[in-house]
Formats: sequence, C-alpha cells, structure tokens
Amino acid sequence: MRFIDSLKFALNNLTTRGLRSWLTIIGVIIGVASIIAIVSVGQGMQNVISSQLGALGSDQVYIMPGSSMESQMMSRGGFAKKPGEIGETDLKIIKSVEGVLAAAPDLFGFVNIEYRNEIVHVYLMGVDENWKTVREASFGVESGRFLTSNDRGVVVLGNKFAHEAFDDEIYVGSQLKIENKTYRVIGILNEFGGLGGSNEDNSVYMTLDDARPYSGGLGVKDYYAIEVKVEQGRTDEIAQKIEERLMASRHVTKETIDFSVYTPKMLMEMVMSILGTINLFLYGIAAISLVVGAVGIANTMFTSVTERTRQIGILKALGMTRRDIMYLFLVESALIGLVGGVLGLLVGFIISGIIGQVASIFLANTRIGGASLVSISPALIIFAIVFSMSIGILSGIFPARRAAKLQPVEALRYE
Amino acid sequence: MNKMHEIVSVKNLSKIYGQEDVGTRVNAVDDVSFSIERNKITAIIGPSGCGKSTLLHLLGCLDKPTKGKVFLDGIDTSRLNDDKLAKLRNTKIGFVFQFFNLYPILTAIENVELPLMISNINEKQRRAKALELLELVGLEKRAHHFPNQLSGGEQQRVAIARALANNPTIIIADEPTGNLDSKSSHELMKLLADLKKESSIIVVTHDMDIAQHADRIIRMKDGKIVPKDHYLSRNI
Repeated sequence: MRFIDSLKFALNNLTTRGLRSWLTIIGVIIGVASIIAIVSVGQGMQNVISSQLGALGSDQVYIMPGSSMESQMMSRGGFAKKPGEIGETDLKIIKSVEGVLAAAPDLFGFVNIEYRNEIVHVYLMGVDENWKTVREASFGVESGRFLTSNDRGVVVLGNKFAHEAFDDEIYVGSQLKIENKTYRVIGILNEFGGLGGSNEDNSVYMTLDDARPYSGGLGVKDYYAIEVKVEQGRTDEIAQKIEERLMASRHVTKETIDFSVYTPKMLMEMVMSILGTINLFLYGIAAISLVVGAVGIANTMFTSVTERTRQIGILKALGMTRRDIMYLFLVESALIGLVGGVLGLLVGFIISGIIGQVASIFLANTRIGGASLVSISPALIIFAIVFSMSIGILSGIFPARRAAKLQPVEALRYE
Repeated sequence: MNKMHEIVSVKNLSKIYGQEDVGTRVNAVDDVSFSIERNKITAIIGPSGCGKSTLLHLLGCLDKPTKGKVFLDGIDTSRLNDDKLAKLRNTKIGFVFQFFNLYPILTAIENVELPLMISNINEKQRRAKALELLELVGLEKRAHHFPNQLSGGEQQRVAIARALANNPTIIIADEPTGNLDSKSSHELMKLLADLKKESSIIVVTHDMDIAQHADRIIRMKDGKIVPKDHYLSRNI
C-alpha cells in the first residue's frame, strides 16, 4: 500500500470517529501546550535575566561576608541574621590590590520614610563617594548632586523612588522624615535599570555614618558588602588576588573561609543554575501531562483495534499484509500526535503570550517591562512537533501490533 | 481430471479446533481430498456445522489447516508465509461474504477500489476500474453511497464488484445469498454464472435452490465429503 493511501485511509478513520479523536487530541494539546508555555517563559526569563545581569558591568567584583552564596542569599533575604564582618581593614587591603580602580563599602537597611503625611517602607543604602566611581557605567545624576563624605542629614534618591513612591512629587530640597529625623533631599539619580527593576532605583542613599544606625546589627566598623571596580578584562584574575590577600590577612583557608568574592559572571551562573532547577521541575510537571496524553492515544488506539477487528479482517481478506495494517494504525496514532502537537504549539503560544502580557503589567515599572519575557525558538517548535508525533507513534505501536497479528478468519468472525 | 484444468486441489486437508484432552476437539474438516475445475461454478453444500465454511476459509487462505495441503492455481499454499498469503488473496482470490463485509466508512466505489489500493494501483486507474465494475453489476449510480445507504442486494453486488477488482482466478463466496431475498438471490447467481468465463467460482450454501446454479455440487457432512459427487447440467 502506498503511503498517500495509508494517510488518506487513516484520516478517513479518524474523522469518522470525530469526537473521540478530538478528545484524544485534546489530551495531547494540553501536554504540548503546557510544555511550550513553560519552556518559552523559562527561556524568556533566562534571556531577560542574563541581559539584565550583563548590564551590571563585567568590571565589578563584590566582597561579602559569609562563606557561601547560599547563606549569603538567606541573610540578604531575611535581614534578620547578623551579616558577619567585612570591615575597614578589609577595605584597605582591597584598595591596595593591583588592578583595583575603586572600592566602595555598602550598608543596607529598611526604613520608614514620611513625606507630607504619607509613609513608605524603603530600602536604604549607605555609601560613600567611591560608589559613584564603582557604578560609573550606569550612574548619573538627574538633578542636584551626589553625596560626599562630609554630608550629614541629607539623602539622595533613586529615580523611581523620587518619582513614584509618594503621591506628591519629591524635588531637590524637599524634606523627608526618616524614623523621626528630618533629612533634606540633595539629589535625584538617573535610572539604573538592572536586575529586577533594581533596588538601586527604588532606594534612598545616605552617607555611611548617617546610615549606620539603620543597618541593624553591624559593628561600628563593619560593612554589608564592598563593591570593587577593577581594570577591564582582568575581573577574574583580580577577584582571585583579592580573595588570596583577604584570606591571608584574615588567617583563613579555603575550608574555613568566612567571606566570599563574587563577579557578575558568577552571579549569573548562580541565578541560571537556580532558574535551571526551577525549569527542570516545571518541565517534569509538563512531561507528566504529555505522558497522560500518550496514554490517551494508546487507549483510543486499543479501543479502535477492538472495535475495528472485523474491519481489519476485511482488509486482511482483501490482501493487506501485517505491515500494511500496522502502518495504517501507526499513521493514525502519529496523526493524532501531529495534530495535537501543532494545535498544542498554537495554544502554548497563546498561553505564553498571555503570561508575557500579565507579567509585563506587573513588571511595567521596571526595566524588564519593556523586554520580552517569552521566547519561542524554532528549535522548540520543531521539538514539539517531532516529539508529539513520536509520542503518537510510540503509543500506537502496541495497538497496531495487536491489529496486525490478528488472523483474518478470527477477525472476520468477530462480532 | 487433467491437472491443467484444476484450479484448486486439496490433499488430506484437516482442520481441528479445541483440544482432545479437555474434550473440546472438533474435526471441522476431516481428511478431505478433492479437486475443482477451472471456469466452473462449484457449490459446497451441507447442513450448518458440517464444516463447509471452515473448508472455504482454508481454500481462501483466510485460515491455516491443521494438516494437509491446498494448491491454488498450482501454488502450494502451505509453503507461504502470512505476507505471501496476503498477496495471494489480493491477486488471485475474490471474496464474497454472507454479511457482505463492506468497509463501512468507505463509499461503494471506494470499497471496490480497496483491493486495487492494496496492490499499489494509482488513484486514477483504480477509480476507472472500480467504476467499470460497478457498471458491470449495475450500480454505477450508487457509486458514492455508503454501505448503510444500500439495500442488501446492492451491497452484495458491490461486494462482487470488489471481489472482481484484481481479476481473480478464483471467486470464493460464503453463503452469498444468505441475507438476500429470493429475487436478489437468483439475480446474484446469474451474475456469478456470467463471471465463470473469467474466474472459477466456489460457493458455499445450504440453499439447494442456489446450488442448482452450480456446475458441480460437493456435499459435506461432519467434516467429510459425502462420496458421491453430483455433476449437474444446466437443464436439471
């Protein structure tokens, strides 16, 4: 039998059992659509995050207390733990490392800010003037000026905070109340953008001395982190040197190390590996729905073999070989897979489009808002179609073999 | 009988169902030997359960014998595997069944095309051939009807057209008139009689009236052939 004839014959069989065929196809659609939606959103997120992290600048190194990223992230997330000790001595050592262009210590805290009877909870950063140099690549002042070491009782505002945090617009010269003390706004920064809409754009900046009372739990000479700007193209090498020098001065080994040195590349790898794990988990869930779809195909095909036993007998009597019969059923199940795959692809596109739209509403006030959270690659399209067809064929093999093995006389006798 | 004139030759053919040790053994066909001439209508008759349908299935290669051999047009069918048997059915045998066995989701003409489709004939050629055959059985106007839109007699004529599609050397008909009224039955037998110029025809029936149309009658009882063959002439 020619392939085109098998195809027409299978199509005829499928359309005859319209409703049941469609119900089976819907099973495949759900499986494929969920995989497409999850994968495209997952890939989109990775793309956005890598581009955002890429914007951090490849010439920066971060030194933080704590021995591993995990504990570090937990303490950053919770803000309850005591952040460890990176202090003045460490800053001096870092500054003395060859290739370090600037080093800026940071303090962090959360405070309530009152402006014209409205109170907002906000992220506070204590920095010194070196921070401007370290962040040179994306730093800019929109109005007023940045902090100097001698400033007291003044704040500089992140762009988003200045323009969006309160109902009333804040200007240079406005007075803000932080924990019952009054501060004068001396500058508003340009937008940084960056990862997650960036803390930087939503933060309030003070000098280190002013910020210290609000960064609870830190010793008088300790910092939350030190940001370092290094010579272009030598980031990894200098990060390595900083680590070695600090280990020597702090008398720690690789095993007892109590601080961490990060580069944007390492941060990116970390985030990617976390995202990868999350994606893997989601793929697993989507894969289960595909398996259910495959079981649906197998079930339909088995039922169809039983129902059509007599018809199989007729075809055998008329001279169809085992292979012809097997082919016929496999083409049918492959068609179910193919149609389910193509429609699943479309539904998946629509779902991921909706997710993208919803996400962009939530992220509208961040830089990500403008970026596409959804990425559909040609590879994904080909994969979905080939995969769903293969699933169709695989789940059709057993029913098709059963049909092919029937003896003509027994099949004809079947009522 | 001259070997050249034999279309079917059966040697010590047996088909046993069930198992002796559990007492379910049935000798449906029991050590049967005979030959059938070319271009004749041969009727196999006997009461129901005598094994005539089983014999027909063995002759039509729809079933495999427990013992013995069937030669079709000189070919020893016991030496053929399933696929070769399928090809043999496709090219040498045309089947007509009691319950018509048309493919329900195909139209009359598509049903007639089926054997041609199986033997890789292209669509244009097989459509032309199928239409020709439907004309032969007088159903060209019903070509695009589905089986359930046709009467029993019409369905059986479609089945005959389908049986003729690949110019078979043998037409095997199992109770072809079993579900037809007597008028349709006689029309059908007349149609078969016209076909014997091209093909040899073997008909299983329990209706003596129908058997009257045959050139030869083989009687079966309890899986065996009743010894006396009856050669009939047209004017009996």
